[in-house]
Amino acid sequence: MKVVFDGVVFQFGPTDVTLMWSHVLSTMKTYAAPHVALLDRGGAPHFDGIERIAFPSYKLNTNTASDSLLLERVCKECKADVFVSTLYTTPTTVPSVVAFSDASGFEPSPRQEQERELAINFASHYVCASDRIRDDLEARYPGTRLRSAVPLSRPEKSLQSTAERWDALADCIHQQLAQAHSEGSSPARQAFVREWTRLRAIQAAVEPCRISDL
Amino acid sequence: MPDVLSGLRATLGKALRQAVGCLARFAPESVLRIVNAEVGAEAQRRNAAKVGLLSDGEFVIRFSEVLFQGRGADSDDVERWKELLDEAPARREAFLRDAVTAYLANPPSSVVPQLNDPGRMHILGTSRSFLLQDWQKLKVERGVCARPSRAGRTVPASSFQHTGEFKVSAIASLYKGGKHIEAFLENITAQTIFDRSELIIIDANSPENEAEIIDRYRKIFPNIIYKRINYKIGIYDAWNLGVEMSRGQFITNTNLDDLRKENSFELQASTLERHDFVNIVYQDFFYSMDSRLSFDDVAKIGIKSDLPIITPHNLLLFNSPHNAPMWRRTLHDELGLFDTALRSAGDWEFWLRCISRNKTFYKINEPHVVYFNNPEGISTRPDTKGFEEGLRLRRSYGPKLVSRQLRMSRKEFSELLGSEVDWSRRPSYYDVVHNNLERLGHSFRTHGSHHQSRSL
Repeated sequence: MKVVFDGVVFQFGPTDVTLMWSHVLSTMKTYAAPHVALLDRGGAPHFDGIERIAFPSYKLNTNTASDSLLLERVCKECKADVFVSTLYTTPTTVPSVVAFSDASGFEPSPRQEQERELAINFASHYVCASDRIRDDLEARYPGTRLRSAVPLSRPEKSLQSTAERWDALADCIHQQLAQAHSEGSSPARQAFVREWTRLRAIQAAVEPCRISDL
Repeated sequence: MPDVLSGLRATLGKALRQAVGCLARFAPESVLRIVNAEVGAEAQRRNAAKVGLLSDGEFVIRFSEVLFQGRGADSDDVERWKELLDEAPARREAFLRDAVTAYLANPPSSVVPQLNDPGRMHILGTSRSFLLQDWQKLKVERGVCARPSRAGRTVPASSFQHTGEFKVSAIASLYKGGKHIEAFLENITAQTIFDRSELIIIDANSPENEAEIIDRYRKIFPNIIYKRINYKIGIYDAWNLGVEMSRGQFITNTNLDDLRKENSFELQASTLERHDFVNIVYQDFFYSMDSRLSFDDVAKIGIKSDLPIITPHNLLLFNSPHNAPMWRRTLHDELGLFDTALRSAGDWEFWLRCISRNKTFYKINEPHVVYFNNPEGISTRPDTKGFEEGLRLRRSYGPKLVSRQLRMSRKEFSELLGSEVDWSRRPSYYDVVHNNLERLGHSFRTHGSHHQSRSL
């Protein structure tokens, strides 16, 4: 299984979120099997055993549909089976896992709100770093099968350290990757992604360029 | 309106005749009646039939020369005007009246480009700019000092050996480059893959005898090709000659006063090699206002562009790949050479040609090139031809690059999406597609299929 992580969050400099993702990525090699590639949009650290692919930097307020089409081309070129973004970016056909964390530190613009909605609607699997985040998102997006990274066997309050919470998140992402991969080729999903790709291409074609958005 | 048109007729210059022609083809019926009195019944029937068929977006594009003072329409214009016209044909007449009046008052030939201030640089890909004072302040803050000029130094003895492989051909047009030639040669020959590259210098009859210095380098680097033309030629004539002489798989242009990081060719070539679907690579670049500084010094000051992913719509507005892009040589076999009728915007025209033929651009984030802001250079002088050529390009490529989907009527667009849309709140086409994507995803998540509701 080949997994492509979009390292978009590293582009915006070090924060709690980048620390969390660094931890998750650095543990990926401990899981059996997946070949992991990291799209470096600028600022992505090196991780042992992870292939890096340079990818154009992300603009938060413009060209997000074009970005999605380009992500798809690169994912296809490197034969990605599953995609994970560190923000709300999405390809157009590759099964995707979205992870939501507590440590946002990131005030989304109206366009980013839209992209978050699309990421939720496109993804096949979801991981929330805590029960609270899962509950908040479930209220906002009813019907979404959100999964908390907090293990059922361990109440959230028993996870004492940040590292423990991040380990739980990495575990959970890893489990969801396998499921997303196995469901990726169902006929219903194929029909869905064909229509999704068509609409995303139309969206890219009707986005006017405004200098003020750059 | 009759007054305006009789004014037009009375003063028929070439541009005004075009405006009348434009009106006759695409104006609403009331305007057509006036114009058609002169053009005959047959033309009247033809024109009237056309008017009813045009969407607002198509109307804006076809009429753009008059509506936008000769500059042509871009995607943002189309979006804004669609909102104003609101698919109410009666509104077109009022807009046309205002536009023709404005056109007569300020014909395109009277529009004078804003003078460039050589002490202010616009940061490409942003709405920001910086001043010479900002640059100087940063230079002091970051402890950067100009070093003595390197001109006149002896070429170091070297055991340079070319591999015989030509991955990259770098093309340079040379005219009055005596001040920069030695630093330029040092910079290019230091490229990490120079042993798999060639540098082709086309001397456009420069009076500064740069050949003497070039010859010193050619003794060590046999992959420097020098050709002097005994009469003055334009930059794009020189580039075309370079392309024809080139042996490399990839081509890049090099300006004498710009600088590259040592691995610049390598980064660009490896990106093209890695991604088969990519035709042209470009990158963010550092700005410099002092040609004596090294790449590392300019990087320390750190003022750099912030270029977007190139789309047809943003490439129509500004030339993102203008600074040291690299492209596949095979593009020229398919699309031809640079347009030598242009003096300043020939590269932009070529990129517009590329994107109009669906070629793919790919941005490298790492800024590995320095752009020197030279107030004496042709592209930064206030009397530049660039302004006029830019208008010409936008006029000719606007109709090709503003997407057909953006120009569609609301009815056509709803049909394309396959859903009914509530247009009463005048949503942008972008947001309409967003809503469709949301509904599609929601339907798939909750029902496992993508049946869409037919109304919003």
